[in-house]
Amino acid sequence: MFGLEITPVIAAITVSHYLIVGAILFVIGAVCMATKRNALGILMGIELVLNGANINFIAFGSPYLRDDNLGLDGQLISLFVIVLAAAEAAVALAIALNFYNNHNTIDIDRADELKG
Amino acid sequence: MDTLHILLGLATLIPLGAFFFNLTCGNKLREAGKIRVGAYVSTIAIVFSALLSFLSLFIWLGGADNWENLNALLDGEHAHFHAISGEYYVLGEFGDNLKLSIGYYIDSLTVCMFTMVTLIATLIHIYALKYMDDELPAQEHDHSHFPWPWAGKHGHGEHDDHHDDDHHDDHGHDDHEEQGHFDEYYVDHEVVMEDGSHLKRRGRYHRFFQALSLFCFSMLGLVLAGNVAMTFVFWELVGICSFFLIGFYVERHSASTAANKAFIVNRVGDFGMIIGLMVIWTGFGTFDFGDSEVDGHKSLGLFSQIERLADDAHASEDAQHADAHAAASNSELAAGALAFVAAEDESHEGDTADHDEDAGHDESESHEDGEHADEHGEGHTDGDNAESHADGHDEGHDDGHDHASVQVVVPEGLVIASAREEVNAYMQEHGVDQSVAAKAVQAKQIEEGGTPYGYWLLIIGGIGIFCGCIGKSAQFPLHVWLPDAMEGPTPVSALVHSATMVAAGVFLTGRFFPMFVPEVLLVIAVVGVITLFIAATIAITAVDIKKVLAYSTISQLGYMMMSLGLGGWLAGLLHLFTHAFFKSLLFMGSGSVIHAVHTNDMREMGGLYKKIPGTCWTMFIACLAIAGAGIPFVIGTSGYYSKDAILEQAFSFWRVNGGIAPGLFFFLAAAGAAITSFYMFRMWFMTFVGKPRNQERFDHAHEYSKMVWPLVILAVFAVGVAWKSVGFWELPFSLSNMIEASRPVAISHVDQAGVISSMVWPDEHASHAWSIVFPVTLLATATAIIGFLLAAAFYWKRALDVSDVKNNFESIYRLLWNKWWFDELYDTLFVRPAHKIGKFVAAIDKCIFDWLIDRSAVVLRAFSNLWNKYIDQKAVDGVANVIAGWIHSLGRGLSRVQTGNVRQYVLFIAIGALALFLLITVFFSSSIQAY
Repeated sequence: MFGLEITPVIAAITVSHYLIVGAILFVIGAVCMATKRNALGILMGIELVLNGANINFIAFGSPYLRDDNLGLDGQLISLFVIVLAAAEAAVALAIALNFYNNHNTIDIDRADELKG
Repeated sequence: MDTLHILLGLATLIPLGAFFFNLTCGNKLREAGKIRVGAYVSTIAIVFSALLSFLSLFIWLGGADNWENLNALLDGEHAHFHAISGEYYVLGEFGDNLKLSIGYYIDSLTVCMFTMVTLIATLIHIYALKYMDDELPAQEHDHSHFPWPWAGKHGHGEHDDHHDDDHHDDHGHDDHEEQGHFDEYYVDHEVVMEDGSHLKRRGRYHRFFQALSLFCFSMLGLVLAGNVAMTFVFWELVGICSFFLIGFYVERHSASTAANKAFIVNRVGDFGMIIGLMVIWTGFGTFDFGDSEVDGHKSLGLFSQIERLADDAHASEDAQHADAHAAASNSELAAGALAFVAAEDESHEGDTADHDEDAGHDESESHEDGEHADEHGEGHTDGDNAESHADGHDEGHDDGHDHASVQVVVPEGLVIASAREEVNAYMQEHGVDQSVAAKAVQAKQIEEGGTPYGYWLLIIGGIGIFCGCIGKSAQFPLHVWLPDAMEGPTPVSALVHSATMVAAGVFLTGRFFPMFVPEVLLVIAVVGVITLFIAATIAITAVDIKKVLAYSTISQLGYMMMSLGLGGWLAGLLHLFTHAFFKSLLFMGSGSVIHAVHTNDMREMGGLYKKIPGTCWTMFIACLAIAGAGIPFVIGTSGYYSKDAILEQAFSFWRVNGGIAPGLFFFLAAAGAAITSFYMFRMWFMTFVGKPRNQERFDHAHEYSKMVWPLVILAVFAVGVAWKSVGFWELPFSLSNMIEASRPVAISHVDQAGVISSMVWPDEHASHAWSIVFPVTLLATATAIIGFLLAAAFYWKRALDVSDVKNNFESIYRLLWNKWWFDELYDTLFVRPAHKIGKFVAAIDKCIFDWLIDRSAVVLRAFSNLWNKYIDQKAVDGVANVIAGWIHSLGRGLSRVQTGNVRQYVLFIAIGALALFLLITVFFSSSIQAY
């Protein structure tokens, strides 16, 4: 499945290995987001999710790991994602701060005013 | 000569420009207080048209052979003049044959008509500038006039109260621009305000000139028209202008009904004219008068077709019996059509299909000049007529040969088709070739002695066209509209209802003359003579000065029609011209009188020669002219020449045919001449001579120089327009020679005989014989003198008492006073039944149809209510509501998922992603594996 070949001997690192790392990071991030009540914790989870995705991009875009050359697209997109994550963090922190100012807490379970 | 159609086209269009100027700018100029500008524009436009017309006249006189030919005419020779015909613009072609175009047909008659119409119109425009000034805005409201105590009280008929208000009252003032209104005393012209002041309607000075300009355009277009369809269009335009102008004082009920009457009565005639047009087109396949040339194809117009038919008729006649007469005419005509069909297969130099029908003019000529006959004889023996057309007639007969390279295409009509059909049938039946079949059919026709092909078509077509002329020229059955048309302003009566529009009918009859077969001519003559006599008798008792002139006009038009109908083509048209001058002079003079005394009723006038001498003497000259005064055989007024010519033709007709009926034409016309003289001088004496019958009106009478000098100019023409010589000096050209120059070829120097009627129409030139001229001239002069003496005895010297005569001939007097009860007759015959039918139909409409519609509406409404209640509200609305409820509750349910809990959302996302992942893996694994 997924082209993953588990061999007992030491083998070269392939895209699959990167994908496993990325998936682990992603799942950790997602679980973090789903379980934390603290807004900052959720932000951290988001970062993990984004970086998990970034690793996938890097892996697919790397000329060393793949035979066909895709150019710098993967790296560029991951850079773009990093920048985006930075901006998003800034905005999210500002929201969190405001939320704290209004509710005296950053427990996101309290932030349910937009419910249908 | 080549520029004539451009010059005359321009002369036609300039008044149209003035019309549009007045239409678009007239009201604005009125608001700006420059109401006179529009009138000046119209006047200048018609002056330019007149200048162009005169220029055209000079160009025509200077044209190629025209001058020499005129001189030849003077010497009594036969000369031929070419008409210029062509098209300005082709509006459209429909199918193979029907072509509608804006064309022109210019010969000397056209040029003369243009000159006459524009000249008279110019004078009338100038006259109207002054006459119509009661339509100018009133600047001085309350100047010194007083309510006329008798206003609206003098009664002599149904239209008594209207005349005063069209003429306002500068009485006692000078000729300066002074505008006051008489209207103030006529309730139907104004609204009385609460404070007792009068609200007058706006002046319509410019609108009068607007209509006058449109009229000039229409009339000139009618004269210029190159085909019958175009003639018809302008014919209707002239009619509508007449409608506008008669109804100019639209507030007055009598004026608006008079306008309606004129329009409706004319429609009756035009209905016949449309039938005539259809017949003509069916028979000849073209509307054009003259030949036209398009892309090297020459198509023959009506006149050429007729001419050729006549030629064929002569030809076959000559071939068979050298001096044939009326009896032979059937066969000749048939020969024309059949020979043509026979020629078709032999000579294909063009598709010369042709003429057949000119059946009309089977002139059974008596060939006083043998050469005419001989020439045709050799050309046309049988089969080869097609070529002989092209080169056979050198004596001016024709068209085709000037353009040797031009193909001749003759429009094909029903008649040829039917001739061909018969020939083809014969061919198939007997198995012979076409020329043999044609001859056989011809022989059979001669044997059977029926009317030739198309002859009935020509009769119906001719009578149809003449119906239009009856309406427009106010001839006997339809003459009733013209007297009522006197409701219009007097300049209109002068221009439209005496000099030009009513002359259009005579003009068309003259223009269309070659198309009229003798049977139609007989109808024309009978209608003309009835008209002239009835109208003249009515004029005797009329007391309204304009009504006298109106009936006089009808009577004179009757003279023209009768003359045309008896073959006096030149005499009729000459009278048209001379009459235009003296009758417009009479009308303008009467306008001047009315303007002076503010009434139309001659019983209120008298002795006016002291007050308005200019009008008095110009009108006297006009009376002399219309009576045909002259020194026999030396010189005379214009009427002397034209009326004598008519009587001479009538006499000539009588002499040829003998008998009582043909004699009636002459005697009624001669009696009419005496009556004419009587009623004209009666009018003059009643108006100008004797003691004033109404001192108050007399005292206020006043004459305006602006209105008199056009009269003087017209008087000069009324005297001299028909002169052929002054003293011993022969004029280089005369009006009659100018008209003679456009005499249709088909009727020159031939006698005509009908197929159905047995009468012979003598060649008009025969009426110039001394044996005719001498007695007729003396008789005509005698009738004029008798009329004058009678009038003088009754109304001047009072030697005879009018009331005596009135009492002795009570019944005749009542007949004449009531205008032969024509109005009452038509009222009973047509108007009342029409009203009754109308009421009946209206009742059906109201009681049956309205009821049905009402009921069905009620039923429908009840049904809709039910539908609304049960189907709409219950079923449709119910379904919609249920569906909406479902959607609503679905939304409600889903909204519960939206908890606002972020962690839950994340969970959903994760689960969703996982689910998608699984879904793709399970269901779309095949496509994944492809990679």
